Amino acid sequence: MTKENIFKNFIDDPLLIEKGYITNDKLYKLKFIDQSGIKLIEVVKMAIECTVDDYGEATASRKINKFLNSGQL
Amino acid sequence: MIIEKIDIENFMCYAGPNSMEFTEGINVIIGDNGYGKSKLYDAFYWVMYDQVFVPEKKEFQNTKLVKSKIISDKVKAEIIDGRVTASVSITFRNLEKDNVFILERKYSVAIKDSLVIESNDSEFTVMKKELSYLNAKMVIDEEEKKKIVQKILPYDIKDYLWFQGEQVESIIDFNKQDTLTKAINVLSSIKRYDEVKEIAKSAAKAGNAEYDREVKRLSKDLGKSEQLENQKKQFGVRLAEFLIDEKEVKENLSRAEGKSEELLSKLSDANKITTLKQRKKSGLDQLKSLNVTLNDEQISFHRKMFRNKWVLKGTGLVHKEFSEKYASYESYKLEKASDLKAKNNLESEIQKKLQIRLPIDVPEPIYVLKMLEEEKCLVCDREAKKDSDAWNKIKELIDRPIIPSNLKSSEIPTLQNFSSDFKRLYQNGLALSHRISEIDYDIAETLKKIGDINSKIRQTNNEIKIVDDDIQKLVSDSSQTLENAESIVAEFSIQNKHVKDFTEKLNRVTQQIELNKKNLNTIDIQLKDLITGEIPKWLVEKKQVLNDFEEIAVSTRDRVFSNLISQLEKETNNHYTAMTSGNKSTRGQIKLRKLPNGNYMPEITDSTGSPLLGSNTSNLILVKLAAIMAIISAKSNDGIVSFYSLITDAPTSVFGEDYTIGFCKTVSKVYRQSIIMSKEFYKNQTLRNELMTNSEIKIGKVYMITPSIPETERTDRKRLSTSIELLN
Repeated sequence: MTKENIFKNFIDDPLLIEKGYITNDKLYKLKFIDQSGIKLIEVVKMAIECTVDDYGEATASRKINKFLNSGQL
Repeated sequence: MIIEKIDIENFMCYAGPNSMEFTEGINVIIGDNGYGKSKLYDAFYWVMYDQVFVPEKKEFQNTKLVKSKIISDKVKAEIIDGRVTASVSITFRNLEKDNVFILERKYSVAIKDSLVIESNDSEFTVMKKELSYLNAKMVIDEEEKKKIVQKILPYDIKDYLWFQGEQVESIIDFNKQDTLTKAINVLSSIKRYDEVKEIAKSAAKAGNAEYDREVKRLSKDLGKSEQLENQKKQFGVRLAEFLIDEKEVKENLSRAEGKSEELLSKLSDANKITTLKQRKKSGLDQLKSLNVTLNDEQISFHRKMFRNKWVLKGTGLVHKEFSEKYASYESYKLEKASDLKAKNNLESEIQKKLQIRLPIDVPEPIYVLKMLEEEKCLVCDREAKKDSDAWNKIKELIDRPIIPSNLKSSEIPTLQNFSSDFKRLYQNGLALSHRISEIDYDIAETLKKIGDINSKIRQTNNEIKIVDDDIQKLVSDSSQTLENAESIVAEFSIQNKHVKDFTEKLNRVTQQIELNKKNLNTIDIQLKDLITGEIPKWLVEKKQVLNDFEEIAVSTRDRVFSNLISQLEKETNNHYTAMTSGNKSTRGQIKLRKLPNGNYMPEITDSTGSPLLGSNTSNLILVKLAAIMAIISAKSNDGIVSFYSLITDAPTSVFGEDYTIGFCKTVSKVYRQSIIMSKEFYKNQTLRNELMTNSEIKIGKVYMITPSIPETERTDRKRLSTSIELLN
């Protein structure tokens, strides 16, 4: 199971559209390697990356925290 | 990665050098019981894990424990002084990368004066060859060796790829509710989603804590905030406790439902057995009662001989005859009495007449005799010549009866008068005659009653025998004992009660959880109301993103797992249908049922989705095999297990021959390579021919293994070797 496969399953979640994070059109074009410009999606990608690459939960949390604190996209 | 070859030398029953090559498809090693199939499986396992199966202990043991038993007895017996080595080498080939790994394990002992001096450890070597570059290297680093072994056959999935027939039961143990879930976790990528979920939970928790700290910092009433924080903590603790409770109750509910479900499949038979047992008991009670009645009747029968005057049976005619004779006797007696009376009357008349002339005994007899002698009447003094009328008249006087005629014996009918006895007998007979006429009916009725009882006893015995046969058949078919059956019925009732109780408790706990969550929300709102100023937007956003992330992580994991289960269910059914195609009695569809605690249990259902009861052991094992294949194949994109080979010893021995070809077809479709040890093809030539020729089976190499001495003729293994013959 590649990062892309896992990512596709996450972005299939209806919450992304329901809560207005992304539109349906854009959703289908999303790829793991591309920058989405959406914080939630980037957080998901970070978690997937850390999982697949076996970085561990602590590293993942730290990276996500740092990312959300920086306000960058 | 496929297995190209195994070289076995002096390993257990494989004395001397032996070799087998394998290809893609289903490779079959055929041999009867005791021919060395399991030892071949051991050879594979030993190389990888330094363990062999010890049948006496029913467990795998390390070389350290088994020691010289690994080495062929024949080879050990042939050496007096020297060193003997058992070795097994497996050649794995990665077709995609075109490289080869040769894994070899050796174990040696020294022999001195026929005494075996054992060493503790085996020696394990790994050779890696890259065919494209024509280079080969011996792997020295122990960690790298472990990695290679792990890559060839990951430890957590080995149980699903390399197993013995008898292990199938335990690989997916229906009694342990989480084994299927564990298998799914191990063999699928779901653990990735679990990890993401854990990251999301942890991140959301940290984000919420950071947000709460900011809320507190901006509070206009620190005291109130403090108080609300404390309340929040308390509700938090309570919520955590209820969540633990919920988990525990769900576990208990699942366990009870699982047990109930498990018992449900046995309940029908158990109920039947229990009902039959009650019928048997009732039959035995009835039999006991009938025997008592029969015994009473038999005792009473003897008593009735006298009490009911049965001894007089058939004497009705005797009484009639006696009556006639008695009547005749009485009539004769009356007649005689009448005659006698008439005679007496006559005699009296005569005597009266005689007395007219002379009184009786006048003259006296002596004078009469003298007159007869002198031939002269002394009364009238006239002559009376002998035999003259006068003389005869005188003689009449002497011949006159002395005793009156009515007293003469010749004239009395009997010497004794039995009249009164006869009369009594007649009267007795008359009194009994009614009874006598009823005796036959009475005896017939009694005999009929005894006959009826005997008939009932026979009938009851037959019923008990039928019930017994039914019980035995059920016991044999359902593998239940009589005692078990009763405990199953009782246990089912208990578990059902548990299900009801736990469901109620779960509802109460769920309500409490909702209440606590509501309270926590209320506190959050109250805390927010105390804020002066504004919480930074980035922090609000961070909190929102992290909570949404947690929500997405949880729902995605559940959705993926649910899809996996659907896929697994579909695949399992495909494999199950394919494997059971040769057996017309197989029914039902496999359903993976979700339990309250989130675990899944396979069950066979009918077309309406209701659990199908009374599935036989073969079916259940096939369900497990189908589930194992589905889980393994689900790991790959095309449904074919390409990277790992299936090695299994006697997998088909646990179910009937009807399923063997179906199993082989399915295996050859699911696994790129499989190595199957089987005795079914040894015994059944037709089955073997079908294996070799069936176009739906992708056949690899087929070998026949034969021991030098059959198991039944072995006193020891000192001359035992195994020959390997390639059949195709």
